[in-house]
Amino acid sequence: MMRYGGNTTSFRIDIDGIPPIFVDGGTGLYEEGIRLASQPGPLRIYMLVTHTHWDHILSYPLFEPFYRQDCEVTFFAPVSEKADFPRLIRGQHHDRTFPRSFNEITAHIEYRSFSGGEKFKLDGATISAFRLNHPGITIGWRIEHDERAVCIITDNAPVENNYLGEGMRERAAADPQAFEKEFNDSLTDFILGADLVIYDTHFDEAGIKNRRHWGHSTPQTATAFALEAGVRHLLLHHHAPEDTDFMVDRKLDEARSIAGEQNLVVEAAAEGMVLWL
Amino acid sequence: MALTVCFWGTRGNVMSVARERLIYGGHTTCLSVRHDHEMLIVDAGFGLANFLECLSTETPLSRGGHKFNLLLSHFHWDHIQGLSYFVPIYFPGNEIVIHSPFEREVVTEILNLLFDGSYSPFNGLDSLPCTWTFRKLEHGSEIGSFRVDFHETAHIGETYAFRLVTEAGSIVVATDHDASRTQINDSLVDWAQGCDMLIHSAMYTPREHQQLGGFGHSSFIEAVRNAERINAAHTLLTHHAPLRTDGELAEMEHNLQHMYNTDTRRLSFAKEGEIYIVR
Ligand SMILES: [Zn+2]
Ligand SMILES: [Zn+2]
Ligand SMILES: [Zn+2]
Ligand SMILES: [Zn+2]
Repeated sequence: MMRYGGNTTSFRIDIDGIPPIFVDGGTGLYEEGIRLASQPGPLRIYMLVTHTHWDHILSYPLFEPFYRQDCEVTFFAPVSEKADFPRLIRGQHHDRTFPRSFNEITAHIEYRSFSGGEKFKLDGATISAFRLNHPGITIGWRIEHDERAVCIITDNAPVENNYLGEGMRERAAADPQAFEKEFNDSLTDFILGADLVIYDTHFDEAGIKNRRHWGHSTPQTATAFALEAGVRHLLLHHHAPEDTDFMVDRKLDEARSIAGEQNLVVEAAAEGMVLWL
Repeated sequence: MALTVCFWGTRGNVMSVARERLIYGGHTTCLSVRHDHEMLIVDAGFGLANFLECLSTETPLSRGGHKFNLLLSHFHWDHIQGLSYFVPIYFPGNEIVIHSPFEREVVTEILNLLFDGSYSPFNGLDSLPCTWTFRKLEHGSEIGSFRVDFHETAHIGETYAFRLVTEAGSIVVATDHDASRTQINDSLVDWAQGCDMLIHSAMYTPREHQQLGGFGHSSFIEAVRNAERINAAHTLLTHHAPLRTDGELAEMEHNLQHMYNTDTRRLSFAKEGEIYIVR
C-alpha cells in the first residue's frame, strides 16, 4: 500500500481565512501534530469527527498541539446516547492504556455535539451534518464556502435491509421500504451538486457479501450516489487494511467504468494527496 | 530444533506507515517467537495483522480450530490495538489465549474497552465469536515447550519484560523500558543475564531522552550499555520513534554496530518482517 498509503483516516481541509479543519484523528494525524507543535502560537484548530471508532480517533491523545496552552480547539463530533464525546476522548487516556493523563492537556478544548440534520455557519463557511448508516452514531459532513462544496461520507453502508447504529432499526421498523427510500433520497440531497465527495469504499462487490453489517460501501454504491447527485469529483476512501495498491486500482477501474462518459471525475484517496477546489 | 524471532511491528507509540519507513517498518509492536512448530506472540500492536502472513493456510481461519498464544507486556494502545484487526477473532472455534502477569479482571477490563461499542463495531469481548482464555503467568509458567518468566520494567504504568526459555536457547523481551531508572534497571539486568537474545527498547537519542524526560523508554546509548551488561550474543533494538526514517535508523544502527559488535556479540535494529535465528 505504498501508493495509496497505510495510515487510517485523517485529512485536512484548508479554506482561505479560516483555521485549518482536521477531519478525524486516524494515525495520519500524528505527523501533522508534530509539525504544528513547532509553529509559533497561538494556534486555532477545528476538528470535525465522523465517529468514534478507533481508526478515526486513535491519534488524538498523541496530537501535540493539545499539550500547548496557546492552542484553542473546537471539536464538532457526534453525540451518543451511551457516552458523550468528551467522555470518549478522556477514555482514550485510561491510565493503563496511555502514558499521558487527560489532565496534561493544556489546550483550550470546546466540544459541539451533533446527531445529524444540523446546519451552521463557521466563520465564512457553512457546515451541515447528516446521520449515516454505520454502527454507533456516525455523521457525514458537508462543508460549503464561496460556492464550493466538499462532502465527507465515511463510514457508511448501503441501507437496504441493513439498519446500523443507534436507533436506526427502530426508525425503519414501521415501514422499512419508506425508511430506505427516505434515507437514500436525503443522502443524495445532502451531496447534491458537490464539487468533491469523499466516500467510504472499504469493500468491493465480492467483499461486502455477508459483511454489510460492518457498515461500509463499495465503489458501485459510491458511484451510483455521486452520479445521481450530479457530483463533480468522487474520491474513493477508507481502503480496507488488507487492500493492496493493485486492489485499490481495481476498485478505481470499476468506479470509472460505471461513471463512463458521464461528467464525473473518480480518483482514489492517496496519502499526501492535495486537492484544490 | 531452531528458535527464531520474527518482528511484525517495530514502531513505538503510533503506526507510521510510509515509503521512507518501509525497511524498519511502520506498524506498532508485535513479534512472534517460534520454537520448532510452536509459536508464541508477544504483544498485539498493529503488526499483529501482518503476523497471519506466516501461517500455513491448510485450514482457513474461518473454519475455526486455530489456537493462538499471546503474551501481553502491558496495555498501552500501541501494544493491544492490533487485536481488533486479528482475523481469527471473527470466527467461532478459534481460541485466543492471553497470558500476562496481570489479574484476569484487569485484562478483561482493558479488552472490553478496546472492543467497546462506542469505539468499535463490537459490543465487548463476549460479542466476538472466538473463544478468549486468560492465563495469569507465574514465574516459570510453561506454555508448551516454553518456560516463561517476567520482570517489571521502568515504564509509565505497570509493564513487564518476558524471558522465554527453551532447550534451544532463551530470549528476553523488554520493548518498553527506560534504562536510566537505575534501581529497576539494575535488577532487570541481573535477571536477564545469560540470555541468547535480548530485545530492548531504544527509542531516543540521548538528547531526545533528556528533553522528554525519558517517557518510559531508553536512549540508544543506554540500550547499548544494557546490552553490554546483559551480554547476549545478539541484541535487537526496537520500539523505533514513529517518524524516524529508514535512512536515519540505518545510520544510527551502523554507528552503534561499529562501536559495539565483536566476534561474540552483535547488535541490530529490529526490522519488520525479518526473521532472526536465536540459536
Ligand atoms: Zn467505523
Ligand atoms: Zn472507519
Ligand atoms: Zn510501547
Ligand atoms: Zn508502553
